[in-house]
Amino acid sequence: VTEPGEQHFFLWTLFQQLRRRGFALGPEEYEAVQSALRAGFGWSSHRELQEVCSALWATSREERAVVAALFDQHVTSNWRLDAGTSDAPVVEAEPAPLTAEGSTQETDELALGPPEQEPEGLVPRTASMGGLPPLTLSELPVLPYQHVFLPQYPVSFRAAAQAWRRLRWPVREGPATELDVDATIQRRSDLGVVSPPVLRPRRRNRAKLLLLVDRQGSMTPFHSYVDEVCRAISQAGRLRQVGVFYFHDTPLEGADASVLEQFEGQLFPSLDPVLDDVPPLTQGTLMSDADLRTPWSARDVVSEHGRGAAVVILSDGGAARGRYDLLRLLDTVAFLKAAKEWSYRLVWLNPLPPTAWTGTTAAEIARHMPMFPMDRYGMYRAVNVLRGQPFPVEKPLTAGAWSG
Amino acid sequence: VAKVRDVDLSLSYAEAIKNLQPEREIEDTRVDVVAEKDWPRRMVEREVYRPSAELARVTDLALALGRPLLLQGEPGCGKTRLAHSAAYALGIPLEVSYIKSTSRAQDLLYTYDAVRRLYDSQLGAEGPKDQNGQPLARLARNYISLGPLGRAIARAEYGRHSAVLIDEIDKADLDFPNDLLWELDRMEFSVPEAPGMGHSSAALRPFVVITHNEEKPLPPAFLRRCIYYYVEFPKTRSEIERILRLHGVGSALSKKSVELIGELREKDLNKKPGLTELIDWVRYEEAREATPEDLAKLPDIEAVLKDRADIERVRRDLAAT
Repeated sequence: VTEPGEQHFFLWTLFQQLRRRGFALGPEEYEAVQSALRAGFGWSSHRELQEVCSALWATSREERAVVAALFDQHVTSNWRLDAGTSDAPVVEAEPAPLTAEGSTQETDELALGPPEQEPEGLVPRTASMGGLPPLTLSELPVLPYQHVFLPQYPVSFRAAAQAWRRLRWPVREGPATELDVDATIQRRSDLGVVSPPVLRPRRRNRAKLLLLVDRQGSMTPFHSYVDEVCRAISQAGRLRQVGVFYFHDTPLEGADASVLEQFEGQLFPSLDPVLDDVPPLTQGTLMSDADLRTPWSARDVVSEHGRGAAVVILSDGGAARGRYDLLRLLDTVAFLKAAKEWSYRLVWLNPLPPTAWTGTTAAEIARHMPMFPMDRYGMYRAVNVLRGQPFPVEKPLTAGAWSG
Repeated sequence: VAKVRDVDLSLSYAEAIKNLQPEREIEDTRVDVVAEKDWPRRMVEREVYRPSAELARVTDLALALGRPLLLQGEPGCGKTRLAHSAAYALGIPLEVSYIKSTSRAQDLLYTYDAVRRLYDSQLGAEGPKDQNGQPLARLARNYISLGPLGRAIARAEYGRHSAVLIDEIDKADLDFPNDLLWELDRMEFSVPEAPGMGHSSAALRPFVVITHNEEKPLPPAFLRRCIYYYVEFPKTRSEIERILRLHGVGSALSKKSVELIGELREKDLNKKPGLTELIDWVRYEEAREATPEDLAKLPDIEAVLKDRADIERVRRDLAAT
């Protein structure tokens, strides 16, 4: 076994590069490829060696593409040992180590397999070339490998799913299939005679979730990340029902702006003096598709997905633009007041970090409701709040009457 | 942490598949208890299946390293069939476990029928008895039945190979794969309900095939213990033709159908037709004695396309030509 040290066996380099790309690989996986090689796998062709690496190191189609691309960067020659692949070549000999200043030529030879396969008596020779050869564009070699680009989100699909699976409201429902030991013993001792066992239904998660997602404008850079989080929550969160609706800037628009009249002439007025007077905003539309083309009336969203659900708003709350927008704040507060009427818990997830909220509408919203950054820890805290953990905010909103 | 296991080269699927009899005698898995000796046998018919050379090699790799083989890929590309084919080719029994959303990891190993034991115990002396005249209810082990993986481990303990198919693992709870880590790693388990009961096989490892439809991501700790392979739709026409011939489709029809399926798969369809659909369709058309010209009109295309928009689109395109 080649010790990873000053010498760099090309598989070790490949292994290291995969690890740097976040592959969950440990010494055990490296050893697995080595035992496969020792057992005779991966010697007959360039392709077969690649297949061994990707079978043992890749765990998805995307990862297979990465392994293949990186492998081609290191092993640039195609070889085949066509004659008699069934009797595997002797493997005791170690492949030649690739030195740090290893040239492409050396890599080529390396890829040929164990050293004894190399022609003997190969003595490196130098010859004077007499100046640089002419170079035309058509002679430039095409790169023998492709680059692979994979999205890497701040929170992985799995981590997001794990965070949201903690949102549980277990209720026993459905057919009685589980033995209730306590109840059975209780009944037996109460009656004093033989009695049939007591069965009860299995526990199921009844937690409902309504995701309200801000789209377009300042949220555009976060679209794919937010989509990934929404997918993780709805696919793997094991919730009873997940509704996803989209909006632009504020969930609902058109709150009565007359309460703002007294602020005329002020540059950055606070909403606090009129907070109690802001009427709840119940009318309007949300979109059921990410392109904001299919409107649903807010009333329908609430009656089908909202009532009794935990509500999560995914939006930058104006933090991306870095501005304070009183009208936006008014609309948001008016919506939240109405939402308090039909939902027992609300949280806000902001794709921007708290440092970016300062001085913007987002910071003001965070004074009225729990707002967390959309990272792993933020999601855990958001789920804690949805589970009922108290999270005091500076100016809590009181529920407004929902006329629906 | 698993210790380094010996590489076991005694089984090779790539070799075994080269020469298959139409049927062979394999240990019967449809029994309650895995016998230590004199196990029942039954005739099993050959599985019509043609793995790519790559897949056969990867299967051998999984067999040699004693790791589970995780298969992913388009529906209808023969992920499940590989397990049947490998078990037949290697002459080992196949234990099948179709995962449901309510499946628990423990069910793969064993189930304990506490309710029946309770009923039996309440009957007292009238209850069912074992051959020594002792009431069954006295011992918990009388109410334990081994699951597919549990039977395979028990069989391995007695020195016999078996294959285990865990079909569509992503249908189960997110914890399901993690709950199996230890058992898949060590191939041993014990039954807490019946002290002293359990099986382990350190030397001989059952061959585990897991299929996965990408419905849910699997935990990394589980994935890294598996050999991963993505089953693709066959890349060359001749390969599809060979597969069709294997299923008894005549050459004229298979040539035409491969051409058609290639055209269909090139269209931007919502759901691309898989191999299973193709085989079903062509076999039906062959039974109807359709000619290649009939086939070009795409009759009964509902067998191949499973999306209304796709069917309408293909019909429109067909009318346009």
